Amino acid sequence: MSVAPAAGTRPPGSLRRPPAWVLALLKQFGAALVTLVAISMVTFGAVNIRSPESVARDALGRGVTNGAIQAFIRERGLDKSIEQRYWDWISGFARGDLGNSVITQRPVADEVVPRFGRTVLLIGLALAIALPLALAMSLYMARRAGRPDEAAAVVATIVAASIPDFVIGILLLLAFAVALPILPVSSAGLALGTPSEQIIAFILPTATLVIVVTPYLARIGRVAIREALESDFVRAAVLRGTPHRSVVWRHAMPSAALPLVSATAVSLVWLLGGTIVVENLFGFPGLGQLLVEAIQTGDTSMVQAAAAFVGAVFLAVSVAADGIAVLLNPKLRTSR
Amino acid sequence: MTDVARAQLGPGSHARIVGSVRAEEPPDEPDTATGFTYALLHTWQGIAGLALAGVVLAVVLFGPMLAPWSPTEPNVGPTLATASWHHPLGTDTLGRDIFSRFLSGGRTVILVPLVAVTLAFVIGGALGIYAAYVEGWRDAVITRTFDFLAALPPLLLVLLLVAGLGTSDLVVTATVAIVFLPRIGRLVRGTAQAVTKNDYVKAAEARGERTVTILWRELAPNIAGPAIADFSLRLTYGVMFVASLNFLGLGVQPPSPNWGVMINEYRTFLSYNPLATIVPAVGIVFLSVAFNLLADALTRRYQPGLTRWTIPL
Repeated sequence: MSVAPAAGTRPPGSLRRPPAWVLALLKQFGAALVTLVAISMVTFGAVNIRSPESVARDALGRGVTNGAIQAFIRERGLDKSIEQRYWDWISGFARGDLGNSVITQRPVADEVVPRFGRTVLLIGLALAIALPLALAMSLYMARRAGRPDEAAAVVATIVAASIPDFVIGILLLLAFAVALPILPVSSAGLALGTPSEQIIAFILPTATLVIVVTPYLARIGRVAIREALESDFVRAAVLRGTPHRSVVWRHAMPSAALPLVSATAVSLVWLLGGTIVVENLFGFPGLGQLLVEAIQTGDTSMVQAAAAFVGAVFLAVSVAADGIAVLLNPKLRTSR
Repeated sequence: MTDVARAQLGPGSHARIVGSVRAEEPPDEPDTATGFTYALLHTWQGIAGLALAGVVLAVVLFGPMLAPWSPTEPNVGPTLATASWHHPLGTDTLGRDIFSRFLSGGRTVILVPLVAVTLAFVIGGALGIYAAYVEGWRDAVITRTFDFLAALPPLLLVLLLVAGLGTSDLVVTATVAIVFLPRIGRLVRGTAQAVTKNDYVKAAEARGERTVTILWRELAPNIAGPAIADFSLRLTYGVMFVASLNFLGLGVQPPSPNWGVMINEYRTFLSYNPLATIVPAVGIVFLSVAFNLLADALTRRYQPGLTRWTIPL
């Protein structure tokens, strides 16, 4: 017996097939890649519906000669076929060359990259605060199931979930910048201000995003935790005499974590839209503000780059959330 | 321990499968219309929702007639005046009366989401029922398309399409419909799958009914309840989504009034005349809270097992 392989060692030949969770992660990653390509195509297609002449006219302003417009089109390569232009753009993108702004002629990357970092930080901060908060709220609601104060909490989440993100931001502005003037109206201090101004610039945008996503996450969490508390394995743990604290945290919570993480992945769609709105509301110099600004000025190369980066941020965070969900799923963890 | 035990044994547990649509049995109320009015008139959510919606609709319908000034006429008073008898909400930078703009500015806030969500519901719902009924490769193609469209971030998609097609109510309505279509389609397909195997469908097939007839006369009435509940919820999202677009300056041409655009314009003098921003914001919030309460009342009636937050925008 001592020479026999230990229990759990894989028989020869099984190494060829990677474990299920690796396959699941690869699948998520592949889906994200397909979506990213789709976003780039939609971006490029939408922006290039307009004729080269109208792009040139927007960039050069009124009262330019036909010759100048033709020169602009030739210089920009706008006379090439759309497939060729898409390929030029995407291969340049892969090399790190985002092109120049149609309006200011400055490199797009100079504008996009610092804003990219700020937007990622904003989303990360909002999630880092919203998730623990939602967990605490859902635990509170789930354990008081059926009592009047639970009903009150449910009503509060309905009302909170019906208030559009920009109205929440306006209310926060009214409270903390107008009625009680302790915070700045605009987050523009982020780009050039002192370190303390930069930190303060994050407060209201982050708070708005947290208020937008927390009710949604808390509602999912409440259902997930209640379901876990009512399950047979929790009942068994209670009957074994397991301490209350341990029942909630060791038995119920790990099982409730999976739907909560999946909900987070879905709520990102929301968070991303919220980020675009919030950045414009507070003058926060991030990707969302750049995107809307570029759309309004007709800066096509800026729109393309900003949209591609916004899409990449969205997919990166949702792949991360999906990945965590895969790792949390015991079915995928144990089976090969 | 007591809390846990109570949670376990608590009556009326609605622990069901999160993320899936289960219609184990057809709606217990055979007459959809009766159940519909019951859900709206016998729950506090329904009554509160109807009352709130009534208030906002009254403002939107009768407001333009009651407006003391023209909503688009500049210099009807001094510029940037605060509230007074002549101008209850003050005037803006062009000297337009903000109260008159508020009374006339709600029409597009309701109409654009209503048309967009209805459009998405008709097309997405038809595709969803069809996919559930025919199964096979056609189902796979439709479902994959829905999944793909739903994977694109909504606000980004609309911003890009508006960037390319230009900003107008028509473009915004169409793009918002594209955003909602796959989400509604997936829900309708899931709900319809539960009823396609019923005997009355087999009976209709045996009678030799055409597919369109089976979809419309046999399947559609049996998923009408959940579908209406979902419609009212989508309308909530739609109102909020379109208001956000208007706030970002999309969808409405400058002189015509709109609550979302007003909030964006008037927030520059928020500290000086906060009412100018607060009143249109209250209008939008009343509207979306009203639809959300109605959705809650209908959802509790028609989809008691379905968590309302499983398939959001």
